[in-house]
Amino acid sequence: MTCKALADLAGLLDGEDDAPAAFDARIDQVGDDDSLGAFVGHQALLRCYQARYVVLPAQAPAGGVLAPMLRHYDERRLAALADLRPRLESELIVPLVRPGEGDIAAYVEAMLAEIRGAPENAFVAFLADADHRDHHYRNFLVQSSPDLLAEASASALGIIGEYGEPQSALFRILIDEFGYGVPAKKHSVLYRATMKSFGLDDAYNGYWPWFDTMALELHNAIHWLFQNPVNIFKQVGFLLHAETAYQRSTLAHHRYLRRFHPDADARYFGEHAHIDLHHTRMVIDEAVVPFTARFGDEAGREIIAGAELTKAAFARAGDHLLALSRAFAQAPSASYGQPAEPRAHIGRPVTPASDLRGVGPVRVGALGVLADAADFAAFPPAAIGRVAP
Amino acid sequence: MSEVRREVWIGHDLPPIRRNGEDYFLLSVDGELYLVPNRCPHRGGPLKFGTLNDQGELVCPMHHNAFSIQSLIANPATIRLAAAPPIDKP
Repeated sequence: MTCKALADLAGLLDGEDDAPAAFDARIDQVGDDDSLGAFVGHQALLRCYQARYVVLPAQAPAGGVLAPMLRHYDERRLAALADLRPRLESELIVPLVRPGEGDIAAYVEAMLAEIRGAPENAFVAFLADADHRDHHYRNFLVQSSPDLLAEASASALGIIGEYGEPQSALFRILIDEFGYGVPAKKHSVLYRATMKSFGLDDAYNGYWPWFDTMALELHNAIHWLFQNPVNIFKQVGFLLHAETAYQRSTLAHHRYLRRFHPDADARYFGEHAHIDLHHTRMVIDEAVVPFTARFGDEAGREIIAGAELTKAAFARAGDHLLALSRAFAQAPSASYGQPAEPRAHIGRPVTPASDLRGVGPVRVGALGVLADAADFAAFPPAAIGRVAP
Repeated sequence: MSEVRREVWIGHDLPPIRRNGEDYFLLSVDGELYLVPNRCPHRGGPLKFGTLNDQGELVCPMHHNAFSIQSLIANPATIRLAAAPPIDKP
């Protein structure tokens, strides 16, 4: 993807700083800083996926809702995003996909044993010993919000069509994700409540300036899986890994919140720790087994490929967040805290590889500010800072 | 412990049965008729579309939670239907 193509897209998406967060589709400019290429590419890909979903502000804008909707969902913009999407995916996501290998039954058995025998969640262990754990947890919530504030919107695309009994199992999982018809039980609504209980804005897309490269990569890898029906078996692989791993990670977060933030709303994590036990069984018994019985080893290998992509994407995002959190905790000039409105003063983005000479203070997500920009050079490569105004 | 196997019939295909704003389904057990709340206590799944497992339990179609027939009958919200009154002969 050329910088010009991204710059053209940035121009097309610009001018929405006064729009409700849901309709704010701005992306940054790469400009002269080549180290921003992957970050801005992922921002653009996020916008490609977001443009396909219905998102509405919680309250009617002062000037009415239709005008910003017409701008946000303008056919010319949608066409430009649709045109760029495959190119961005081929550069940013497809290289992460590895062919699936081995026998699916053995893979499932080994995966279950590996996840159930996994050591303590490393980020939660870090938080338990952290001095400013509330700020680190806010940043975790913000970095997870691109997907979770519209949770399961991607996987909904995998339900439409007609493909037999597994479709009903996947639909029942989707029903749970959307709160089995009860708005207050939607997983996105539960996540919103957790964010609010940490004093965060719960508006969809409200924190887009603070999303870093790895948070966007995880979001985009998941959404890529569901764009093309040819990925149906990989989608099952995604669910196989995600539902199983999420049981453990959400249980760890639920226990952490109960211990260190007893007033926080932990229902999102408690819900997943429970319902994903069912979902793992449903995916294996009602999708993996019948699909491989019907279509043989090649379907099994595709399922493995999807599960491995998911595992790798979660691992990369998790490792990055932990490294970033540690780097901020150790930075000599770091001070914790966040402005109330992240979209009001965005600031230009920088990476640890950017030329930081003469640069003012650098904000790092929802964590806080580095008074000395040089401290940012020691952060993990995919970290994104914003030059504070 | 599994209960003694009973003669059970579920009104899968009957029209919706609503009473006081609640959905019910018709359940026949050993010749007795019951209106059972059509709502799985786990997540509200439609029990009327459930199946009987090898233990004779009703399995919810949503998450496959299984319920003994005796527990469904003993539910305070379940309504046992009285025998039809005799029809007067002309």
